[in-house]
Order: sequence, then structure tokens, then C-alpha cells
Amino acid sequence: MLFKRFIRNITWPAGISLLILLLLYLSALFAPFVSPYDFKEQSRKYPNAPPANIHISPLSEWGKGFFYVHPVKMADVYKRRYEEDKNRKVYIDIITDEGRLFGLSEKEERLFIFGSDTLGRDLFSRTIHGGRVSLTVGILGVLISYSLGLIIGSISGYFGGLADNIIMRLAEVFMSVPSFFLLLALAVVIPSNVSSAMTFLLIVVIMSFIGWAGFARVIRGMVISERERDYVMAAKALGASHRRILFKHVIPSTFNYTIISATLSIPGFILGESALSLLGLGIQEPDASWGNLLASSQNVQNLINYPWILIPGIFIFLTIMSYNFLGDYMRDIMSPRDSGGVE
Amino acid sequence: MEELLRIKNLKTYFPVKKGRLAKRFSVVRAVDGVDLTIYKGETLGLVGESGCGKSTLGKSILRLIEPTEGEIYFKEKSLLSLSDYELRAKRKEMQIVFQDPFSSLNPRMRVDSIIGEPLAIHSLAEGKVRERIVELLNSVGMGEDALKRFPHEFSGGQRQRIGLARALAVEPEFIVADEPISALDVSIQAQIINLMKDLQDKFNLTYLFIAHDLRVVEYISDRVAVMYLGKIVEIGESKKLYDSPRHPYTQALLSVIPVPELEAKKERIVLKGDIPSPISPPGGCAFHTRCPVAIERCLHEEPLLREIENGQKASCHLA
Repeated sequence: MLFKRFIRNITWPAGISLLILLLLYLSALFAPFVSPYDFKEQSRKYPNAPPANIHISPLSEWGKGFFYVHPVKMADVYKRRYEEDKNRKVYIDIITDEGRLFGLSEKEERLFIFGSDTLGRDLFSRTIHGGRVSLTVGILGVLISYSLGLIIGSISGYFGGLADNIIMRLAEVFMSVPSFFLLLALAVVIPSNVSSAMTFLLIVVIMSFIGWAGFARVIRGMVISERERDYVMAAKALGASHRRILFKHVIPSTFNYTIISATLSIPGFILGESALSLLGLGIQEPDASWGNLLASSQNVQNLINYPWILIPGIFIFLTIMSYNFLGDYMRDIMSPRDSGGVE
Repeated sequence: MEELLRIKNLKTYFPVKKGRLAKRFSVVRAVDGVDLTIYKGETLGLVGESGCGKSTLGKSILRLIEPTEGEIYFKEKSLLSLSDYELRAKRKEMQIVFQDPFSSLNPRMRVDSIIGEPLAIHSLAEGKVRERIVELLNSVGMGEDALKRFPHEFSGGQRQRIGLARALAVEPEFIVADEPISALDVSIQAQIINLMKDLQDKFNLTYLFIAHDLRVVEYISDRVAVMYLGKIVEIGESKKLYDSPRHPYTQALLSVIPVPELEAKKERIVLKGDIPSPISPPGGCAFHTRCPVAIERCLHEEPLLREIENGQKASCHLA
């Protein structure tokens, strides 16, 4: 089994990547639990608060909490300068009464572990919620574009002739559409009152419909070489239908490539969504995605004064690196050198 | 003898593109007008140099490659007039064994699904598929332990056995053996040949046995046909053809079989030149460019396959 081989031979980079991705996906799945505040909740008293300094409690105070912070107070409204009240300690509860993973024991104080934005919203909570969009866009996009590419490409390659010609010319048309301009144009067309979820789906679908063409071409090439193999002819000689030959013999032969290539193209979708949201065309405020969280860093003044708004970018970076390492690892274990068989 | 398969004037041409910009087509005449009858229960050997169209003929007969022209009658029914759907059902009666046992089995499938595939396609042995697969494996001399293994775990000879078992699964009457042993070690070749002979007796099979090893063909065949440039140049009963070849091409082929005797004196006829291109075969007798005895007539007039004696036919003006 592929899965067994995947686990048995795992390397350090791949293992760590897998762990990071698992953590990210779990946190996105349980976002309301993991985040200490609602991602829309505004704390007007704390705009642009810096990330909190978390201290480890001395042993004697472990009964009250393992970690504590000094509560902050705005010292300079214009410069958004905050000062810690060193005399007071507010302990961090693990699993709070409200059913959150962690939170401050004193409800009137605020805990911003990644800092807060201009409206005083907790950046950590927003990042975790934003992950729901950014992490699914890749998987969903790859799922759609790869199933399209796989089916269209293999039909094109298997049947050849006129069908092949038409499909490939169509693919070329799709590939020559400047995708970014198309997206901009569509952003204008999509009415502004559409919900975020809808916009999100539209983005995915649009990116997938542009993305299938290149993949379909590769699959077509693989299918053309595969359909000439004796075992395909043997299946034909046995009386197998075209559908059976395609789905049982020809398409599975491209799976090695498909899995690797899919893993490696997930980052493209994540970046695509980020770019769109960054430009304000994707997920709209107050909903969060990693892309639109980064949008506030377009303002250089913001970036200089409140550098912590770049933290969502670190999440994008981590995700993409992880997918790339994982894809590389998949390529290694499925390389033709040892793919004499599946086991 | 009862007739199983009759081929009339079968032609299989492949278009090839010529020229880089302008599309000019020319054709490779891989099979160029073959008449052939195969009788029930016999083994017809088909020999010839590589590139002479043997395999294409075998695959054309099964419509794995669509013939361009001609007629094929299998048990008096025309194969070429069948629709796709009818043909798929008909495929149960005729099977093929391939030359390369490494590419003829899907590397991603286990042996039980490979042999089970024909059963699934034709809904055979329903309810006792596994028993049937084991039975088939046993009939080709393999055990139950092979069921869950992948093709790459087997040697060439074993894979060829699996290929045979797959072909036998549909209980065919006719099998095209497309150089089934030429990719195997010499030590394994005999095993497979003998297995094929046993299976023929057991299941009453008819073989079209394609090969370029003349001794193997002599051993297994009842009749032998010799192909040159897409045409059959000589056909006859195995023994007679080997004893007294009539066509100069057959004579040349047979003269180079090594004889395992010290004192054997044989004159080898070495043909000059290469086999001409099947895109533009020479006019007249296609063999005249290499024939050691060609005369003026051979250059202009194409000889027809005609009976020389007792069923042995050759297409040579001089035979």
C-alpha cells in the first residue's frame, strides 16, 4: 500500500511538514475553539496593540495559571503606544469557562498574542479563522482543476483524432487567457452583496477552470504513451469497453504524476487567493483570509509601526513550504526507480 | 478439416506524415493483401523477418488494429462487419498472447485482478470467480500463492504463463500467439512451448503462432506460412515446407538454421541488402531486389500465390 510506504519512509522535512499542515488544518477546523475571541469582535480600547509578552509563572503560582501577562493600557493615543502595568498579573486559563482553548482569567483585559488590528480585533483569532479560507482554497481548487484535467486530458489522449484536436485547441484558448485580468474583470462583474462564502467558491471555480488546461495537456501526453502499451491492447482484446480501459488501466497509470503534481500545485491556489484578497477582490471584510489580512500591510506606515500585521504571511509561507516539501517527498517515494509495482 | 478462420485479401495500411510543413501522406503497407485459411485445432506458424507485417497481421485478424480492406470470416461470420458492441462480445472466442510479458500485464494490478478481468468483463464464473482463477493458474502450472502478487514479482516465463491464463479465462477457440517466446530465456522457451502444446490438446485450441525462430515454428506448427513485405510468399504443411521449400526466400531462411551436427554440410544462402521499405515496395515480385535467382519477368510481373504440390503454395514464377 502506498500509505504504508508513505509512513514507513518518512523523512525529517516531510514529517515536520506533515505535522505543521495537520496542526494548521486542525486549528482551522476548530477555529472557534482555538481562537480566544470572535474574529469580528472589536475592542475599541485596544487598536493596533502589539503582541502580548507572555511570561511563565513562578512555580508557586501554578495553581492560578502556568502563564501570565501584564495588562496593557494605551499610553499615547496618537502614536498608539501601550504600556504594561507591571504591578498586576493576569493569568492565562487553559480551556476557559466559555469553552475556548485559552483566555485571560480577567475578562475586562485583552490577550492579543499576535497583536490587534486598527479596529482592535485579535489578529490571532483572525489568522486562525482566515486559515479556513486559505487552506481549503488550495485543496478544493486542486480537486476541481485536477479532476477536470484528468478526465478531459485522458479522453483527449485516448481517443485522439478530432476530439483530441478540438479539446487541445480549447485548452490552448484557456491557457492564453491572462488569468489575472480575467479575475479582475470577474471581480467587477460579481455583485458586491454576494456573501463571502459565495465569493470564495467563485474564486475557486474560476481559478480551477483556468488551471485545468495545463494539467490536461500533460495527462494527454501520458495517456498517449500509455494507450500503446500491450496491456491496454490486451484489455481491448479481452473485450473491455473504452470506459473500462480508461478508468481501470489508463487513468490509474497517471496517478503517480497526478498526486505529486497536485501536492505541488496547492500552493499556487493559496497564493492566488492571497493575491486576490490582497487586492480586495476576494474575501471581503469583516471576513478573514490570510490574503485580506495581509492587505492592511500594503500601507507602509502601518507596516513600519505595526510590523506584527505580517504574521498571516508567515502562515502562508509555512503552508506553502510544507506542501512543497511534502510534494518533493511524494516524488521521491513514487519515483520510477522503485515503482516496479505499487508495494 | 473444418475451417475456423478465413481471410480474404486483407490489407492494413498505416498513414505516415511526410514533409514538415505541407502535410503529404504516404502509407506503410504493413499487410498487403493476405489470403489465409486456418483450420480448427491446427497450429499455423507465421514466420518472416522483423518488419514484414507478421504482428500486424495477427492483430488485424483480431481487429486490435483495424484492417484497411479485405474480409475476415470467423466460423463463417464476418468479423469486419461487427459493431463495436458485437465485437466486444465476440472477443471471448479469440484471444492473443503478447511478445513482451513485461508490458502485457498491468504493473498496478495483482494477478487475481489481471486474470479476473476477462471474467468480470464477460460476467463469467459468477459467484466462484476465485475458484476459477485458481483453476486457470493451475492449468498454466502456477499455484494459488500467486493470486495477491504483482507482475513485477515474477520472472518472464511466469508472466507469460499469467498472460496465457488470462487469455484462457474466456475459453477461446482461437489464440494469436504473437512471438510469445522471443522475449524469454532459451531455457524457458521450451517450457512455454510445451505448455502451449498441452493447453492446445486440453482445450482444443487453434493457434496462429507468430515467430521468427524457425526451429520453434517447425516444432509446434502443423502448417507454416512465410511472410515477406506484407504478403505471404509460401505456405504449406510444416514438414513439406521445411523439406522442400519452393520460394527462394524460404530457401534462404531455412538455409541459415544452424544444424547441430559436426559433419553437416549446408550451403547458406545469404541474402543481400535489407528488406525494402513497405512505404514503396518494389514493383513486380517484391522479393526481386534480393532474390538470387531473379529473372527479367520478376521485375515486371507480380507472381501470385499458387499451388505447387499437395497444398503447398508459393508465389514465385520459378517455383
